Amino acid sequence: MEHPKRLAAAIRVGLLALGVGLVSAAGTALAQDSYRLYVANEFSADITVIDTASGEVIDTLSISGRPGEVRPRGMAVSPDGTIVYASVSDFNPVLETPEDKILAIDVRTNEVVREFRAGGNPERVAVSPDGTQVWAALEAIAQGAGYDAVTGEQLASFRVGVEAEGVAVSPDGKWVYITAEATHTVTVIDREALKVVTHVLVGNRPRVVEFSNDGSRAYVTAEIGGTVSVIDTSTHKVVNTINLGLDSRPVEIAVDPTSSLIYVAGGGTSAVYVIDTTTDQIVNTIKENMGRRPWGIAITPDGKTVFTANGLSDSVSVIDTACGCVVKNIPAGRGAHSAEIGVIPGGI
Amino acid sequence: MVSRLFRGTALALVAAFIATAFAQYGYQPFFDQPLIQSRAYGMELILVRLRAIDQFDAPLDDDLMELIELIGESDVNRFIGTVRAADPELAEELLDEIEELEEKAEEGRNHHGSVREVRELTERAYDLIIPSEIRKSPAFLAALIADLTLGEGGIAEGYEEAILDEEPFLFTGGWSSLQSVKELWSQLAVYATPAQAADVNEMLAQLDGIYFAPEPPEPLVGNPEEAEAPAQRMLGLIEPIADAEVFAGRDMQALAVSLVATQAQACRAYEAGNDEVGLEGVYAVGEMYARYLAGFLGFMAPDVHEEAAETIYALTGIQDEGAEDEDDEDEEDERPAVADPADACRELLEALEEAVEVLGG
Repeated sequence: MEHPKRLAAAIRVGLLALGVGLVSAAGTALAQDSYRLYVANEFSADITVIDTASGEVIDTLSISGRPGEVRPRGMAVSPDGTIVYASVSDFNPVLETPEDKILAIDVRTNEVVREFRAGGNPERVAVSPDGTQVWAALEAIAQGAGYDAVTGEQLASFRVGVEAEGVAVSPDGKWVYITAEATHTVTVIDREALKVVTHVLVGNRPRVVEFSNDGSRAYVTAEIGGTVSVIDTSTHKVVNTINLGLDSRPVEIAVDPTSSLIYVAGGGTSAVYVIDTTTDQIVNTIKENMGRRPWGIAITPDGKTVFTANGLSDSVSVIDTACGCVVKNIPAGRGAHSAEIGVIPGGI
Repeated sequence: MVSRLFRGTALALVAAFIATAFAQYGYQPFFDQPLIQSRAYGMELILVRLRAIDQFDAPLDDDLMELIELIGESDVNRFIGTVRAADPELAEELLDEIEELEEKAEEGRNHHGSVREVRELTERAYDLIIPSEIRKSPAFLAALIADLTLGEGGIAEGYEEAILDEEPFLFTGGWSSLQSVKELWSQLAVYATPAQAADVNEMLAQLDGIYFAPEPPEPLVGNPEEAEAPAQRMLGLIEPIADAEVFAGRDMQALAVSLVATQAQACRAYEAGNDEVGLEGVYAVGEMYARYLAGFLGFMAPDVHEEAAETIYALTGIQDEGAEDEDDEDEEDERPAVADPADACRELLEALEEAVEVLGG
């Protein structure tokens, strides 16, 4: 089943093609989607917004007046691309009013249109394919929790492995996968039955999980293991382990919606590993001109550009996927952690 | 029984095979020489604690007293059996001086002279039981850096525990661990390229910023995991420099198999009536178990974990993070007495063998 987020992208591409036809037919242009890159900066407690066409920073959204203690980290985007959700963790446990929360940012206005409490240090978030739920990995309390995307009501919570980190919802909406750093596991939650199905042992210190476009595979990075575990989602078993090297320290994954490639941010080697999922082989390693310690990574819906959030150089590297090379580096905030692409349908 | 203990030797060979089969680096010190690393770690811990308490004059705060108590209750047990076998007089002298230090500190007397004495004796023991060619080897140095970074009260954990447990002098312990790591790194740095050295130095500078002084700041608040990210990254950078794998838990099955072999060796020492040497082995096993296997087994196989963790705690006092958190919530558990250490050793061996099965062995 096509992931609605990607289905929407495909429809937009189709509409664009139709638009091109209309231009020639009627002499009027159908406006093109424009993309905005959101970079969560862990240490400066803000989110850098970059226009992907110009590479210019167009906004910086302040998240908290307590940088260092309150940190924006993982992000996810709604299926239509218009809302970016950001998880915000409060690391100062002595305060009575922690700022643990999830923010919903309107891509067109860059304003926070909703926020809801998600106690327990939400590290990363994911959105269900129908856009109605946001799921979070709650690091400090070893739980995965689902929230109503509009009201923020907590719908369910489950015990997962220790130091929950990454979370993803399968394209068919049936499964929620949640990684846990300290137990080296992925917990599988049946989203419809609202129950834990199993826990899967993956590589050492798993970080991020992402599903393939068709949902048949899930890919899990293991930071200390230096691997990507490939899980067959019909059996929830690891069927392959892709070795990136012990020094690679992989974190975020960007799944190309237009091809069989995935892009993996290698924080240890300051590289991006390009993996062809039809063979599970590394087909390219992009290192030249990369910023330092890429953790975050995102790809535009057209599959043409990849962005990395580089935590040690406080920057974003821009990769042209056609050449597989870094074409630009853009300054971001301190401790650039995660990256996500928002869409303005029809452009600005 | 004998067959179980010798099965440990066979498992050691299997562990070596598994570990090398997936090795990217040339050395795996925690697999190649687990007892040597553990003994050296015990001596490094003593040097860390001595540096920490030497920063303060008598009378010492209760938290600093706890650091001193750890020397006699735990650290010295990691190596004293081997020292006694090589030089019984030195072993006795060291134990006496540690006791003297404890007494002085408890009575609020000047402890700095005793600190010097214990340090000198510890360094003599170091020279005696760790061959100089091993002490200089990059893999050995890298493993010690990993121990002092990831171990209980080390750079990463010390900061976290100081904040979460509200025990500010654990900060001082973490600060002292960092000073030791910098000394070890100065020996290892000669093997690094300029770029590698710059990266490691950058992480050390970040850690220096966190541990900016021996005295804990007041109030000690902030992100408890602040030290973990640069500490972890530093270790990742050090691995290729030393050509050594220092995250022993990368392959948990191989580690469990290796721990069975070390534990079997410890049990043989107990069987032979050499309890001190047996206990050294249990410390080596307990440290790696708590650091790398407890999390997974506690989550996936709690019965197996409970058996292993309780026995390790009874024999050594080593606890994993989860057990410590439970103790923080409840009343602190009294460490149970061990009626027969040889029996306890075998129980732990059985639990570890079950752990191997859980991990797919």
